[in-house]
Amino acid sequence: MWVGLACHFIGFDTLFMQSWRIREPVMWLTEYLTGNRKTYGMNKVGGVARDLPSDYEERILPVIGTIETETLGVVDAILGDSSLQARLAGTGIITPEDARAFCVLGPTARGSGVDIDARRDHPFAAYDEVEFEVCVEQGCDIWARTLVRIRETIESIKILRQLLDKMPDGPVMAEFDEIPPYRVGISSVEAPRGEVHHYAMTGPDNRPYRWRVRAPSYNNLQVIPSMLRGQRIADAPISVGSLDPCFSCTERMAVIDQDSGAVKVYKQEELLEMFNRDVIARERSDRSNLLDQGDCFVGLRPPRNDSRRGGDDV
Amino acid sequence: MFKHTISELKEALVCLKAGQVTLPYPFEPSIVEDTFRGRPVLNTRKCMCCGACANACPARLITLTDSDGIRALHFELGRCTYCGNCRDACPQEAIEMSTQFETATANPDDIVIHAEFYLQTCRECGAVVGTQREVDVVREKLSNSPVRTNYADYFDLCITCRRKQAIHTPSLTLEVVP
Ligand code: SF4
Ligand code: SF4
Repeated sequence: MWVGLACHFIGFDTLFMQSWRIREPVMWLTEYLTGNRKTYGMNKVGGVARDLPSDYEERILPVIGTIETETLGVVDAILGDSSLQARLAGTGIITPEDARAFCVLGPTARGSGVDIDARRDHPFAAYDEVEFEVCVEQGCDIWARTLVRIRETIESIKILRQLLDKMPDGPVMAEFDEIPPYRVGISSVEAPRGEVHHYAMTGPDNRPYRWRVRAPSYNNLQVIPSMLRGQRIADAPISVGSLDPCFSCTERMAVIDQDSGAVKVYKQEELLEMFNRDVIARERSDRSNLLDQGDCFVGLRPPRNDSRRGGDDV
Repeated sequence: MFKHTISELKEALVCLKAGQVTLPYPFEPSIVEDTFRGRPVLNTRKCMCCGACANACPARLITLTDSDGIRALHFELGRCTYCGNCRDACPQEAIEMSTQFETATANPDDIVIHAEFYLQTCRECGAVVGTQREVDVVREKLSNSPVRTNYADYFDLCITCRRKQAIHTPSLTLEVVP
């Protein structure tokens, strides 16, 4: 999906259409397997909601086979495309130092030579039972991120084949009764855009009491100011697009009055006023320090060096 | 330059091989898989307004409200994710996941389900026992089961009054018919 979008951002709509055409059978397949194209409604506490249809293997294997050959075909075609490379190579540079300092995740980090992948570093689900390669590129530019994503598509197909091979029989749901209240669980899962963290606190009546999710786009977006510095404006859309940001994943805050239940929606001016107040306060207290760092984006926390793990306060 | 031309030719080949792939939708209906879960529909003849679906819905869009001897079951389907939890939870199999997916509308009232049920009140104290449909379903289930209560008139008593009666009725027994 990302390859298509990226091509659209730079006006290469042929590849946009072709990569989405290659992707469409996957959507049909998920509709068949889970009941919906996107909102699968599969994962539940303790297992999954329903078993796969009995002919899943016959349905999945041809689809991933076609995707593999078609993706390889497209990749073969674009590798020699000098206009595409002229546009993507050397643009949107994220240095490995920046990548670590801003805690970027997923393909964005791996395109800058940062070798992280939660599937290997903190194995969850069945990832410790399958073999796969963590795709790292050293280019630090958009072309490197493109290569990482394309290689990962092929890797994912390999993982799927292994999983289909090794899938055990058995119930789809674990047995459990009462879940003890007020216990905390944290998980980190490698999603296509990077590590997603979920924090959950159990509550009474087998219900969650608190839940918070930190999506990788939150981290990845922080690198934009440093990535765009010194670039041409025309390169901004594809540079931002190369992070594959999902703004709806990042924007998860609602301000609710606990007593009345009233929801407050902040207007742009109010947010800017709050932000500016913050900036002015910080500038006053720590002006010289900021100037030393040469950083114009003052809303950020100071970069951390031990940033292999995500930086938010989960 | 030469490499670039080859690359462009290959790209053209990819497109030619694919041919036309767009479907005539919306001029022709788009057929969904049989496993597809669309918007839930409620069979109001089967539903007894027990609230199991409201408890199971992760989006919390199903509500039960009592007023004037009527309990209203209300689905605000604008937030529905078509997960099917309500269908799986329903003891009456009253919810079916249809294949409708074209639910865009300018009128929010088009995507709600609203059903109202008469309430059964306790004949002693007037407290709510449940909906009349619920009581009927229990009565029917019991009449078909080998367990028979000797006191069919317990149905229109609330739990507190039932306890009171049971204490004053030493001979209350359950008779199991083999
Ligand atoms: S669970 Fe079924 S019977 Fe109970 S209120 Fe919901 S639809 Fe009606
Ligand atoms: S399908 Fe899921 S979200 Fe929709 S009403 Fe049923 S339980 Fe709620």
